[in-house]
Amino acid sequence: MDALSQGPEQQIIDAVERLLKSPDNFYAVRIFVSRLLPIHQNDNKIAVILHILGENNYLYKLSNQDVILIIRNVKKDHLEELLDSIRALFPRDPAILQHPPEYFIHSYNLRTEYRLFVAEIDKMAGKDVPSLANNAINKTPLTPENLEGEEQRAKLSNLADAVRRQAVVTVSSDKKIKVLFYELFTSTALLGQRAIPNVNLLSDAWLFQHLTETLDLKVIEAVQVSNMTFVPPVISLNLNISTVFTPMFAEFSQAMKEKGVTLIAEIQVRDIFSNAAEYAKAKDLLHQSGHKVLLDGISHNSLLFLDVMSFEPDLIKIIWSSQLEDAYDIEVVQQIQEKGGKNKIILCRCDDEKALMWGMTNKVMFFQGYFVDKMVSALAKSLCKDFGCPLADCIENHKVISDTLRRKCPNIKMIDNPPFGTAKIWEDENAEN
Amino acid sequence: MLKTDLTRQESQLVLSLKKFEANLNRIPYDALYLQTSVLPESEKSNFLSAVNDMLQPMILLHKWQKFFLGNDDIVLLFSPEQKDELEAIIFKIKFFVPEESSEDLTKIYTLKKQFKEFMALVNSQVGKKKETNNTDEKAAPAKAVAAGAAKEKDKPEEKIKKQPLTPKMLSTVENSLKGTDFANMIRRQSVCAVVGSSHPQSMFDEVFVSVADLRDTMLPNVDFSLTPWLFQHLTETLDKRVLSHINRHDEGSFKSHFSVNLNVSTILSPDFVSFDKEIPSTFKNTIFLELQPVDIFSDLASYIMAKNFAKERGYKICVDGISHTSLRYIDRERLGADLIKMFWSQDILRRLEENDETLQEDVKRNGPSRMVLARVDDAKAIDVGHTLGINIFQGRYVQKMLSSAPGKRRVTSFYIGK
Repeated sequence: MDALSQGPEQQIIDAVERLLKSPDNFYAVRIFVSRLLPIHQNDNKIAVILHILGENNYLYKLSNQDVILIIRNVKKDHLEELLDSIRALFPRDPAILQHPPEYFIHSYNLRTEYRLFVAEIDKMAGKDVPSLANNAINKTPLTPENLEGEEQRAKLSNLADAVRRQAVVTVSSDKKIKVLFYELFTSTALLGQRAIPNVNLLSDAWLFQHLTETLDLKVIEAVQVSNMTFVPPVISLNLNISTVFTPMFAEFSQAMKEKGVTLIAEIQVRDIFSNAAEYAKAKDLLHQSGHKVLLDGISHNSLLFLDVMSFEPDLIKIIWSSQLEDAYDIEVVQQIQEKGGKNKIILCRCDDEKALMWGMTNKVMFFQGYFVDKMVSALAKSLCKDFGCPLADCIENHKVISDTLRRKCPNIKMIDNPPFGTAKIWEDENAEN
Repeated sequence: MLKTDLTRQESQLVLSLKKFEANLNRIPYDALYLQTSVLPESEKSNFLSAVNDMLQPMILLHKWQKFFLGNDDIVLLFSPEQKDELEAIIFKIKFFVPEESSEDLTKIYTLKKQFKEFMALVNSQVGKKKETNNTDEKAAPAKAVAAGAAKEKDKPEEKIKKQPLTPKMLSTVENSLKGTDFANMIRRQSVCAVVGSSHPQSMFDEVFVSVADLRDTMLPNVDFSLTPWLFQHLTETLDKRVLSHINRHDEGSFKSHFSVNLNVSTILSPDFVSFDKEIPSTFKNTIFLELQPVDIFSDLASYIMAKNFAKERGYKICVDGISHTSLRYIDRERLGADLIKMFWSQDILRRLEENDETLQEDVKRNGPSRMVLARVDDAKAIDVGHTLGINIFQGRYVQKMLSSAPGKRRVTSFYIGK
């Protein structure tokens, strides 16, 4: 027997064949550690997870850092929850943020998908090539030494091409979609391409957070210069609380107010804890101009630890994951709705139909995510008869805001002013367009 | 020109200085100016007696000279060779005064070079008995006196402008911390039970780097709140250094009954594993790991992991740095924390006086018996704490109470009831 056939890949196949002789149910899980950013691959959390998982299950490390886990007799739902809790440990890694869930962790029911699984493992045998996201391998980390330089670079760049928008919609029980508002944002991938190509922005959370204070203003600038042919009546922006007090924001806020545009400031919980007194002041300031505050990033874990309504937000974004199917989470969502949060919850990162089903079952009215984008574009395509653009193109065209990029769409009017209508989000203004 | 209304000591000081002026190169002294007048009235008598106690041995031994000015300020003429000893005393002096006063409290003058400024300072401060209000003369604000030695022409009314911590400064500080012998910067402050009017009973000591000291020595005039995320980065570096300092300390002073500030990521790191190895398992339940809410809510999944990891080993979790406003959002039990630290501010008293019930609700929800009122700088804070049902305190005032307590007592078995 040569060395290869003794490698982890062969061991796995041998083990699976043995196990399948028993009447038990098995799942094989592949954790694509190799798809994480290098800085996360070496994160201590991985070692701790593996230690915990290895205690009661079969655990194998592939030659490229990926991990194979074989779990016996677990219910699919429980497995999904476990996998989601592992995904939640790297919330900012592109492998989780910018890809469907299976990209980072893929599970196989060995009773029904044995061949598929073995084929995957066979492919791995002898291969030693890690697959990496984002070409991040050669980037230097963001440090206090290079931060000022990168900040300057960001300040001088034109970020119009790096800003994207994503619709937040209502979905009626007969699956009719109406767009409520657009979130305008940029991503670390886009920043890496357009403005800050040399450093790994995710290597240090605090330094990156500091950089977002500059990026907030750059996004505002991009929105101002983008000459959007159609300015949505409501737009949301991710903002640091400190940004709300800047002169540039004050100007922007006033300009938007004059145009009849309502701004929603999406604020992170950690920012509120950084300065609770400033949060209250920022809310007042925004409300004075008719703008709103959205509490962003509420995950399954946040629901465990926080009383969301104590922050008194105008809107709340809950991040979809299958962990929300927990009875406790459902109860907490109900409580939020009873405490005045009924028309305030937006379910975001809806990657699939399951998210929508959960939302609608639990009386959530507003949705955002890849699956929603697909629905919006599919509907637009069905009404846009003259052009037969692929769905993927249509989705991309819906996302951009800068003129140069928009020219790719042959029917911009369709994207900007969807005939399927926009709905007003605030309770007292529920008239349809 | 001698003023006719000088006190005897003031006259002596001015005379001595005049003598030195004749031959500046042979001045045997440098000068320390102690600006007692910046302290709140309530602090002054304690301060003066403490200063007296600390300086007297040095005065006798090394023939230093001390002069009391009419406005309670003190001038000390000391021999330059003993500057280090004096610095140590100054450090102790500053430790017991409110932070906002400590900046302008002391100033050292190298008389060979700064005689003129010092003379000008003395002349401006003598003849001001504290009972009289000099309305015809603008009382120089505290900061102007401190800045008096500088050659800038600041208007007395202008405050020294605070600057933000920049990435460059952050880089410089963090790099210089790598080589620093941390022992000098590490402080301990006791967390004590004060029930009714009892003497404080020390429960455990918080081990920390004084950010104020760091700022004074390396980052003067920096306002950390202007760039809070860079400040978080700095505290993360500091916490790691404190942890590795504790790891290298053999004397047993870090074996039980202490707390240390940590980031979630540090708990999941090999540094913590090393730290954990050195702690006898019987003592782990007397050790608190102090975490900040900003850090916790930055990455909840990691917090859960770190918390479970630490608690399985027996450590206790304390959520630190909570203000009376952010207390609203905290639920200690849900977070799985054993203790929370709220810092004292005058606003707490104001809210109570305004019958603000939400504050009391927030305290009740978290369980007052599991709360520490920190940054306690006067007796009023203790009273307010008691009103809220809190019996555990930390701060300069508590340190003072401890040092005047008849024999410090430590609770040897540590149990926080349900």
